[in-house]
Amino acid sequence: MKITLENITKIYEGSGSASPALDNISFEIESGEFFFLLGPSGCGKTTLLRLIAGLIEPVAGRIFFNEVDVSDIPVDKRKAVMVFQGYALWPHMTVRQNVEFGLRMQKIPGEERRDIAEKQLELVRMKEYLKRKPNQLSGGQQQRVALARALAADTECLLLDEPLSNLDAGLRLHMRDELRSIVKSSGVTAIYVTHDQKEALSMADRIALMNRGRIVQVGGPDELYNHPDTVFAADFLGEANFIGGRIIENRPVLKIQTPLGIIEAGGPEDITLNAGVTCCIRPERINLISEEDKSPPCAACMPSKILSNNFLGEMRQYQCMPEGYQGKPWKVFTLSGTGQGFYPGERVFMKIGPEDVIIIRDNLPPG
Amino acid sequence: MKSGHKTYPLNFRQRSFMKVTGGPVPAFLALMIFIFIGSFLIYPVILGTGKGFFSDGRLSFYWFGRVLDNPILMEELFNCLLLACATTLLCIIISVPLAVLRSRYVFRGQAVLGILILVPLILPPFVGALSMKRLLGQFGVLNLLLEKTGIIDFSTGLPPDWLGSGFTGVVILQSLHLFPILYLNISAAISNIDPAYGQAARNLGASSLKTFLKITLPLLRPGLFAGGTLVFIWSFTDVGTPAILGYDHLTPVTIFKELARAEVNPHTYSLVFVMLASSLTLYLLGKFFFGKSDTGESSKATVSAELRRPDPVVTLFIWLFFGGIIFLSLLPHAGVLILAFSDRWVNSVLPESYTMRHLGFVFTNPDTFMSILNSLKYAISSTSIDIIIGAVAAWLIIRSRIHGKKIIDSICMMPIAVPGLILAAGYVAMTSPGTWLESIGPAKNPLVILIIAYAVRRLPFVVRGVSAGLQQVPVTMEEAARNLGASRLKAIMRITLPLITANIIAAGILTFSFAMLEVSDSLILAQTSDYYPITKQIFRLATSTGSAEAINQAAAMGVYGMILLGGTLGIAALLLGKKLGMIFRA
Repeated sequence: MKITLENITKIYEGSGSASPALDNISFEIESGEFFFLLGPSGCGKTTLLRLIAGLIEPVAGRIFFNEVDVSDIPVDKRKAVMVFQGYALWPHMTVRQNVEFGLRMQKIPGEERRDIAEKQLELVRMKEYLKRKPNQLSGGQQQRVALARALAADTECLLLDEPLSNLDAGLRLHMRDELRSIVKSSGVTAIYVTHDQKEALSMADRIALMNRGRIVQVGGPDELYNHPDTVFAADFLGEANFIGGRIIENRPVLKIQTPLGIIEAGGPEDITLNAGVTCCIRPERINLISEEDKSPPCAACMPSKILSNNFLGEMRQYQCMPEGYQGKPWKVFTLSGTGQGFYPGERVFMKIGPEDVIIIRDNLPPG
Repeated sequence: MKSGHKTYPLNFRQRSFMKVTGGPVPAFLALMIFIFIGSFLIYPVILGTGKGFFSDGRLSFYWFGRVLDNPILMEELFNCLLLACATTLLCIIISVPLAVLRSRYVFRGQAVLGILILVPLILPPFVGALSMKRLLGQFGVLNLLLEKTGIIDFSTGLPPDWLGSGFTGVVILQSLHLFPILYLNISAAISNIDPAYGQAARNLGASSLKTFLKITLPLLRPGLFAGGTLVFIWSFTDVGTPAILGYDHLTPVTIFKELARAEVNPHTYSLVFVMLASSLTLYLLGKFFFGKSDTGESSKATVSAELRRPDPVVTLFIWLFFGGIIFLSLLPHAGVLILAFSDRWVNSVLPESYTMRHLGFVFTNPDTFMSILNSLKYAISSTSIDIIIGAVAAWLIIRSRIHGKKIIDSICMMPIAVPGLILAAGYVAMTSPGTWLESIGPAKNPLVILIIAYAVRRLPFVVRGVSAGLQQVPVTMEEAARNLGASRLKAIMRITLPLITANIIAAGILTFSFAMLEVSDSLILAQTSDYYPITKQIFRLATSTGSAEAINQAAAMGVYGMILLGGTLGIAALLLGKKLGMIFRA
């Protein structure tokens, strides 16, 4: 099912806030797509999900399912089924009764209802827990029952509100793959709300990044990570080093004059001379070279001093201070390997190639 | 660690910190509570009911058999059950829609209506009964109004008596007095239900009505049961209202009359046992079928409730519904107020003239004035006892790691399940002539047993109120103080106590005000006029002569009672806010 949002605005009455919870939101979600709404707490992503479900109403804008305007269809008739953040499994009903509820509402006869419920519970590997009550299940099991309840309702639009946020870290990682495979195999259009960028990047077909009630950027995980339009997008989607500068050459490569000297970048090509830009360099894209290894000398190598070396298991996280630079130290990630890495106080070179620099036509963040 | 500092072995530190609330002090405190409840609740109740099983000093079922064989007594018991069922049902019918509407919508005047709906609690219904006869009797205000408007004609026959046998009147009066208790319980239960449950049902295609019936109502069951139990037992054992309205073919009224005799027949104690057994059986049956809580700890809200702003038509409906209920429930109060000021009120809708005479009489007549002083004495003493025992019990239940916390909680809540009438019968048995406690018996000097009776009956309010406060203060606050060197007592006194002062004051105020207008124990245990509290004095004035003047004087005392309870409940509501409901939960 294709979902279209047109100029959606939502203002909470009596919220005391001057700015709307959602401000003129428009985008389209293709049929069968696993679409993510990603953003910091309070950015309006859950509000948007609840609007699509019909649990709340916008003050302006329309919502279309397969080109049909559903804006005025009440929640119980809209068939956009939601998996709630806390699962909202009814505590007075068994797992089976919970899963069968939506089917009952559709007046599906008993035998068929039982079959569908069992099939869905089998899909989420919870069939043997049919007679249990929700409070007899673990968090992960509850999550799967909630998913089965939603899928059993034969919806074409599945809405998931931070469904993994109540699980512990290990289970969360495991459920990511499982959830994606269940959702993709069911063929529904799914909208998933999360503030966890790793969850979004690893599971989504496409992501809408939100901030302060607005859509900041929509795109695939790769596109958003490697080509953020704004400093906010670059910063929210992962670690990044930023430095502001001015374009001094735009052919054949971009050259940007920065407080660290001249930095080269691969694109974009349509940028004008003297334009103010922000250079964004992901920490894992920087190569650290020891003083002895630096041969022959390269223009893009910045002499720096190691401030700290944190071992994170599969990788090391360094804080490096470029020589003569007064700003914030730079973050550099390297695979940890077998050695101890560089020592704090050691002089190294940060090697940054033009392909490692992302140019953002946006103001430099503070600091 | 620097030398010179005292270093403790790990096991000592663990012991002093981890088991901070175990040990001899909590055990001693728990023992004191067991002794208090054991001596003044369990022992008298066993004694009072057990006396019915002795004949000539031997164990016998003679009296019990006589009770069961007596068709009149059985009919009275049936009447009580019918009365309690009708009252509970009417309370549910009134309070469920009120609580649901209040939880679903945001509307203008919500706060005012929320407070006004509690006002009926401020008057014992037997005082309201004084005015109900005047309002709904055969030549009462309603019929006079109907005659004036031409709807009925007095000349063609006797006008209808709206109170009938008294049954309807008692049900209406009790319901209008008790529905706020159920309303508070249901409101609290609704606020404990995660709004996501309802939203999930709507999202899966359930209509509003289906969502209410399939999701909300089953989850409300424990709240309905908790409030329903209080209402049921209250109504089942009420003495005052039926006695004033003349509907006295009821077991409690019979027991009340029998207990006032100098020598109480074992037959009466058998009747007390039947009453207790019936209410306990009904309570347990109710708990089995309705009291099970499925919500467990999963009921923490995960989404905020979507409060709707109703359109003008719905707002009007809400106002009319709330307003109608409030109007009806305040009618007895208004009637009592008018009675207190009325000089001559015969065959007219409103009094022909007004006077301050009755209100003045209360303070100039030695008997009525003495009853106010007595009530103050009893209420202040019993409230002090309740605050001390209740606060200690709450601390043991919420904070301590002592074994048997659930038992402490259960025994502190027992007075809710034991009707005042049965407790009073127990005290009568305990102090009966020939026993060593005879000198503090009802016929001699019941000061001590009245204070203890009041204290025992209101203890659950204080325990619940203080527990609510303690639950809100994270234990880490106390631990932080301990961690910084405060002793256990100091941590409680300096940190916890100031944080729960509002709860203690509110629970104390409620306890005080309910003690001031306590009915069943007062009617039974105060049998000499020197020890009459306010309620017994009102009852005496209303029933002894039946003269209009005495009824007016009783109403005047009722007015002072209303002012007192209204003021104190208002303060408690301000201090406790929405948690007021917690105090009325079983």
